[in-house]
Amino acid sequence: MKRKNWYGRDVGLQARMAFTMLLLTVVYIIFTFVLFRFTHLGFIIFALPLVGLFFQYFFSDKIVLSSVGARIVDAQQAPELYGTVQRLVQQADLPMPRVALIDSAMPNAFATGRSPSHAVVAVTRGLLQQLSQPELEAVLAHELTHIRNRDMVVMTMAGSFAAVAAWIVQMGFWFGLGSRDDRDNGNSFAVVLLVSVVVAAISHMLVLALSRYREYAADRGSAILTGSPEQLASALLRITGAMQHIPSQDLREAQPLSALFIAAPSKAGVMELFSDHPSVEKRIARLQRLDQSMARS
Amino acid sequence: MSWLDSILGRTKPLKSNLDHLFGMSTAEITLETEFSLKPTGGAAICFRPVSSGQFADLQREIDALLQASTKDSPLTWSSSTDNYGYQWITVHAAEYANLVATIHMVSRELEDSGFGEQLLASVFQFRGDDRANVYWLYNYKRGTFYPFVPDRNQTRNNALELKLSSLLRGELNMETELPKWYAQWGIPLDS
Repeated sequence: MKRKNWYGRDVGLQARMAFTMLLLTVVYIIFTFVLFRFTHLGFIIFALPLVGLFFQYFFSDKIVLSSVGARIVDAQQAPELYGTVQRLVQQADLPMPRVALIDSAMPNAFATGRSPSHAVVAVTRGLLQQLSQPELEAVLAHELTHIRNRDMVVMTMAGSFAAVAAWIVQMGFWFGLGSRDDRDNGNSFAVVLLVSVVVAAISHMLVLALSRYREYAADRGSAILTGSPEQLASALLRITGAMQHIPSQDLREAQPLSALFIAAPSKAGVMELFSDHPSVEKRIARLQRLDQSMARS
Repeated sequence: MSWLDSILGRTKPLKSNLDHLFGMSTAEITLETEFSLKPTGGAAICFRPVSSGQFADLQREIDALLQASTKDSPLTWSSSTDNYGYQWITVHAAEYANLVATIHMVSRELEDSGFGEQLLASVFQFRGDDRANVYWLYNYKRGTFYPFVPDRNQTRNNALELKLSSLLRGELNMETELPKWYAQWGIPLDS
């Protein structure tokens, strides 16, 4: 009595994700080769930014929580929010994450932490005020899927060498360009700098693409966990609708951290390539397709 | 989830583990004879409904199954939705073995239809001499039981819970991680 899965499959998304990661790997291998071939400092050049990145990853929960002014709450302080998260983690068999509140009127949410057992789910006061219970649940399920898929590890790894390349470019502009005592050294330095610029640019685009795919994956995970894709779609509409009505001051404050949030300030058309979130229109269209395939199943 | 599922961001719904659910049919006797905790004959199953056609069919199948099993032995049931949007099917049966079997049957039906991830917990209700409720909760994802003794004002009688769990360790597959002893307020079994 084998029936088709009620939630269907999304092979296309997985293929695009795998392809992006393959391209990143190729770029990174070439980059490593160039660094070791043209400099004698390959190891140090790698180690410094990677150590920094590792710290950022390892303490991501603490860094992010303090930078957005989030406050950890317990079951007594926010019983409904806590209870909703608890039921979802029980259903998904994840460890209970810490739950945090951000005192901001803009509705948004994010998840961070190096592993499921060190995870934090944070929501803004605006989110609690503006979403209905099923919508809030769908947003929380999206964040829990980020934790389940270990998006913090995947995105940190994906961005690692991009950070190295960006660091070299920055260093090059600060120190490198002026000093050319040795002609031979100068040439190889130019090669390294040029390659770094190219690697930084290409890998940045690839990392952004990967980030967008993982948003789609988290949307899917939320729909499967809650069984209602339409609630997430309606939450997304409400969140982005509110973004356009609230003064841009808040938006600019949120911008540097947007990769972590459920929805980012919307960019459409070609500009979407430069965004870490897919446009809300596309996410909603996908959720509606999922809804239809569930209804037909 | 495997590391490959994580890397590809693939959500594969978890399966439910029903293997240890039947432990309740023997534990019930120990609870009654040794701790004078009487079963109320009530139990409930809690799951997350899905907005899909297949799930609507499933609801009808479950109803038909319950209807069919009343022929063998008396059984009443009802369905409700709680504040969190989860659905509860509460069952009352005169015969305890039949109650456990019914909960198992409904769970099996959900699991076999591919909705294993939607199962949250099932609950078995007991009552002490002081008329206080003692619940046993079954965690489907882990296949484990744990006690839940609500006091007034959303607090739990942890001392009694710990005592019960240590005394029934041999009979029920007990949840050993205390953080997984999730509270379940507002269980729709008459209190």
